[in-house]
Amino acid sequence: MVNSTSVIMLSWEYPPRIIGGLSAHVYELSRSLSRLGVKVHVVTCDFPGAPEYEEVNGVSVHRVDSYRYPTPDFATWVAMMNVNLQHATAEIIASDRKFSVIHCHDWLVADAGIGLKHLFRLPLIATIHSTEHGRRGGIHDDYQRMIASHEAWLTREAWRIICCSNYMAWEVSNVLNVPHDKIDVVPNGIDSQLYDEPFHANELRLRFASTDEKLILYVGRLVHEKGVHLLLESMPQLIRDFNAKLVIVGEGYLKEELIKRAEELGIGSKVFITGFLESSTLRGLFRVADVCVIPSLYEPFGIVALEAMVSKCPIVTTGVGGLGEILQHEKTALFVYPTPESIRWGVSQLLQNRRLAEVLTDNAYQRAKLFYRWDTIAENTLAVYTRVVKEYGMGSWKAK
Amino acid sequence: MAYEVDILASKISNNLPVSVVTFNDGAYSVESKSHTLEIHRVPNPVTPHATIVTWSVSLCSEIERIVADIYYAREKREMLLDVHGWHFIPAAVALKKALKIPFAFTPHSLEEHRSGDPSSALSSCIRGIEWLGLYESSLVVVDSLWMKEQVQKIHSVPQGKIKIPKDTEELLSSYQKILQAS
Repeated sequence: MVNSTSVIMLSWEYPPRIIGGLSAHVYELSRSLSRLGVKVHVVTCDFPGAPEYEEVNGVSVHRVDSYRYPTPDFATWVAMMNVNLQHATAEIIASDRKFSVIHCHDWLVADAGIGLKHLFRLPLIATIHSTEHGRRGGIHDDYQRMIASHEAWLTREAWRIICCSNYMAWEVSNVLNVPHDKIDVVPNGIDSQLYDEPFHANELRLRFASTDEKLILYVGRLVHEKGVHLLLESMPQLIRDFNAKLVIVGEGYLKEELIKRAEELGIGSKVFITGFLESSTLRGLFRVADVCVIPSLYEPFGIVALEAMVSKCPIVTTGVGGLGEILQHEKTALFVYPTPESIRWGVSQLLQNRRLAEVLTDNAYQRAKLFYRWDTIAENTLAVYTRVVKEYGMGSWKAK
Repeated sequence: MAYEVDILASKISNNLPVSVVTFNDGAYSVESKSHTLEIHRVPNPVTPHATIVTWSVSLCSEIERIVADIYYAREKREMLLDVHGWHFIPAAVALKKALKIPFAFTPHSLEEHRSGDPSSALSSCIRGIEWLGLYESSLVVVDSLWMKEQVQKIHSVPQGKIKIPKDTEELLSSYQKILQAS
């Protein structure tokens, strides 16, 4: 399939550099767009051992030296990373002036993307994956104010804004003062085929729990907004009633606190904090877990829900933010309040009633396959590009 | 630096059109001083900032917007930038790479001398930006032999690239050479 649209995408992470969910998002979106015939260039930060340039499933990936200058802090590093990213991207666009749009992912590449927009007079599209206000539960200091100011500037300069859920569209509109009609909602997607690959279920499960233990799975950053501390508090009774084992996958500033609290609760041997896991191991873990708990207090989208859905793993969730759009109570998951008691109730229901768990997982699996395929996400993203290119074509703001 | 640039711009505008693009801690404004001299005062689109470098980089994106608008308004006619100080170097390099606009760099001072702790990470970063400007520019303009020696010594810039123009005519002649070469 051939499409005349060509996009230059800026993202501070792309595999093998993985900081959060952005890396997988840009990887899957870019290769799905390429399958639709869109010419895609991704400009991103370098990573030890990764080539400066490569083609990945038809996508041209440029990795830029992002540590060229010594910097005193993260904010200054981000600024200088933008300088390097922008200069490299300017050379790419100048050498082949056939790009239709610039697509920026989050505030971390705002300085570079906005400058490039004006230098080449190309329309800018911004995906806002989350906001500083949402991540921190408000803006509390000047450092956060700077990030929020970047986010507001990026959304002001963008021709269209893409958010991954209606919840995020609402948040961006309200927190950053963006007119709601400037925002398109395109959810994240999942490559379900990866979860169908053969694996040694028993062998993998035994690495995390014994055969007589019920495996309760949490996957996500170990930070307050993810509510993992609430899940931990719900565990003592679940361990007594079901011989449950809690496996926590992820890293974050709460890690030490969680370990300490598990010891205080006397359940240290029943809580396994694994840190980051290899992708194939993580996919297998979703497939062998008895319940996956997503106890978030703030969630722009909730990609972990899609991972559990395509793995046919029963889900207990608070249903906040984007989770409430992906999942439905008593259809595809059990929704609970963000309290240890309520989480305990939800997990107990699914461990006791396997028929209910089966119905929920079957429904969830079908829903993920139907609505969250990357090909569909790419088609919806391309529709945004096409709209922008059409509107741009009708205007006079051009590099002429 | 502001006073020097003001005098220089006034003198040069007798011979060719000059746009001065500078920071303003307020709303964006354009002032026409004569039919060949205009002053663009540009606010920083992001506030507050963590460091002087984050301030500079965000402001540079806005400087790029203003200079690109001037470039397109002049229908891409031949243009040259003279960048005073390191703060706008990221913008100058971006304009050079994107629109092939060459630039001269006038470092009125060097971080090595300004900073109380030149080996700090922030000073090293600023030195890196200064080096980028000295390396990417077509001409380095200084106002003393001592400064020329310092630029050479600290940043290893080739001697031939550094000029100490004795008057505006000599500076204009250097500008002309850059444009001819580009």
